Amino acid sequence: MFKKVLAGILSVILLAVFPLFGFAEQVELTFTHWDVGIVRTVLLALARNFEKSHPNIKVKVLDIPYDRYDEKITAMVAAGNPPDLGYGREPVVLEWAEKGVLLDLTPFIKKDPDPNVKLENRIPFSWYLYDRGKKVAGSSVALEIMVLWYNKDMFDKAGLAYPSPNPDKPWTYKDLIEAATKLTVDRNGKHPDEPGFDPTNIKTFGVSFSVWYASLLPFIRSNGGDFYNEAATEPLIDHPEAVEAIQFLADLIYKYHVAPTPAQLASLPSLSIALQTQQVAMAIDGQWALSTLSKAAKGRFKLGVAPLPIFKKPVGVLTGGPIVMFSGGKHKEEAWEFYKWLMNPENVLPVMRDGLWMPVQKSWFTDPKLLKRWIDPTTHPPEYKQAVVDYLLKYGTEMTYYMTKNWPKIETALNQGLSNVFLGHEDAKAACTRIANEMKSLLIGRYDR
Amino acid sequence: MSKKKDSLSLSKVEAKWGLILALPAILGFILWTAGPMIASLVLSFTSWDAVTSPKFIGLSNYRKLLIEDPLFKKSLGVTLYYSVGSVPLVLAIAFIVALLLNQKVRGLAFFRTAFYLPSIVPAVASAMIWIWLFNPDFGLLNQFLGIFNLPKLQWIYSETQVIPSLILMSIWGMGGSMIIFLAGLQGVPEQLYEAVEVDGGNWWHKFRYITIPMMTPIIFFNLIMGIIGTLQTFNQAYVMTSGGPNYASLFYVYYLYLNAFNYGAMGYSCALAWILFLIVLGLTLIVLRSSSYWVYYEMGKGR
Repeated sequence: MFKKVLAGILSVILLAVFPLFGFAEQVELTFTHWDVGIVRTVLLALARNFEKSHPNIKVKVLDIPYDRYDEKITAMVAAGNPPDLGYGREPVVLEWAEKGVLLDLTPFIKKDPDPNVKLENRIPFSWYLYDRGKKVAGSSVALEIMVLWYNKDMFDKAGLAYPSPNPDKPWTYKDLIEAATKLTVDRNGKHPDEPGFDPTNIKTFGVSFSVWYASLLPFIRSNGGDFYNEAATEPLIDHPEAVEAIQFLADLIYKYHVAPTPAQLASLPSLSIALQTQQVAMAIDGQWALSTLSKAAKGRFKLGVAPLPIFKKPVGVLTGGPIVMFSGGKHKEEAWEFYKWLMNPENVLPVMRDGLWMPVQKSWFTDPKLLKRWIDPTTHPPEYKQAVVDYLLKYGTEMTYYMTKNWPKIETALNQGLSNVFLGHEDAKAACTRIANEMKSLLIGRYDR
Repeated sequence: MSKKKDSLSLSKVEAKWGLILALPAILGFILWTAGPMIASLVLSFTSWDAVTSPKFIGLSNYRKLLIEDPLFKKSLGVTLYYSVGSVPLVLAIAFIVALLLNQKVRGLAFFRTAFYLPSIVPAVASAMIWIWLFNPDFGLLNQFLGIFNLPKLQWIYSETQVIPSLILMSIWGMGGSMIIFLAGLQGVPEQLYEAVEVDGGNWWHKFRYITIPMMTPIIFFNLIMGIIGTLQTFNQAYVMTSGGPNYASLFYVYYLYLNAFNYGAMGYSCALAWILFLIVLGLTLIVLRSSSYWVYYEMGKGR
């Protein structure tokens, strides 16, 4: 009897312990993101490929809608169950890093021989530093810049020259006004400079843009101004350079009547459809729009891209959301392995060829062989290398907003303050003076200086 | 012997079962209302960003709120403006519509449905509908004004017109109050109206001396519900206006949301929440106290 009991106990123990032999180091990582569509598909494929080459690591890809992202991550962190790594929403990333929610990646970067992860091999400004620049919160997986998209067929029909793709000699703001005026037409066929033109009945807009800081800053900087000083302690938005640039953008709507009002913009369809159906001839939008634009353009219209028109000098503002690692994650070494996997352009090539992402490593922008690999000629317009790659290499400036402390409140002050300007009820000068006042108490410096 | 009798006594058994059956509701209240309210009160004395642990800072949040924060005053002003405009208007219109729907007219069921339906449209869906109605270029409202050759308005795109526009929108959802008024009207005994006729009174006397006094409890109820509801307006700011233009529609609860989820100031938001609670409580108590002067309850048990 005793022998039977002993045998029973031993077999139970063996059965319980047996699984551990096979999966001694099975680790599960949680990776959070907010993408949908093709990027999501690529991320899932990426995770599966990673698992194949790292059999002891499983990657759980967690989809979180963009406008719930902070809430959900906050809840996970507060519950003591943060993800291992994931997208970081730019406005809060450095704040979280300073609070210790995110891991400092410096030790990992130092220790790892892979040149892909070294910051000096990357396009400047594609990383997020904090603690006065001593620590790294994360790096972009994709570089971004605002550009001018346009429908080449509409220019051909109107007999107009395309916007200049050459970043050394781009269009000026005068060129933009001139071309947009010729391309804008109301439902009676009249242009804005003809008598009888009805701005409430416009059929085609010359140029469209959304009013947000990423659209405004390149123009302000091109005119020699900025939102605030480099140290983020003094407002500069009430200086003439910034006021002029903002007034120009508002004038596009209310003086030259070539751009839609916010209400009209809300009733226009998405950019790709608006360009396709010729409701809009040009659009100021992110380079990432290529993903949807190329699909709409295929077989229907010729898509063109150009650097943004300038006042005094060409300026581009580089952004790009970082991938971050959470300090509450339990498998830091394995998370770093997946982080590197994401950072390797080879692994995310489909998303770049699709037009949504650009690489962040310098070599992928300067080596012609590598350029060929991610600039897919079936999706990217022929002038892409000049208009986007050279533009960002020569004239890309740092995006200061996400590095600035208190950015969410500054953003609110900016949006609320400029709302009347872009509704046509107020001059930029008065609004900017008010915004500068509000900013004074909010500008307390940057995370990376 | 007597002890055994006590525990079996009817009142004790009833009391025990009453407690047991009420327990789910009591637990629900403690877990999901009282508990979070107490947590919120405690958090209002801290500085907390939800990703690190709360830091006790005493009355700092309240001091900042009452003295230093211009947006607190602005959001309170916006919300009170909306409330003062919407509550009386919705009450009056709901009452008038209920009166009309209490008549024997043809298609009564259709009209009652038509007036009630908007109030059960989900809030966000109705916000989207109204964004289109308010569109300055081709929204229905401006088209309507155009018929009478009146100037087009900017509606929610104007700093001065945004709150009046939202007040107009709130009237569309008066169905809930209207149904309650209708129920109240139908509870008014017929013989009271007949008594007025016998005394030689006309429709005005019926209205002034029977309808209104009998309806005061309903008016009282809808008034309090209206105050509590309008002071917590959020959807219109979140979906339609983002608090603009230039803070003109920065509703209090929307400002609270911004502080909690955009600015990571959870402790401050809790302080905002408690201030709102005290204001709503105060207003409700004022209406409650005043009710003895103008609310007539039917002669029933107890009163």
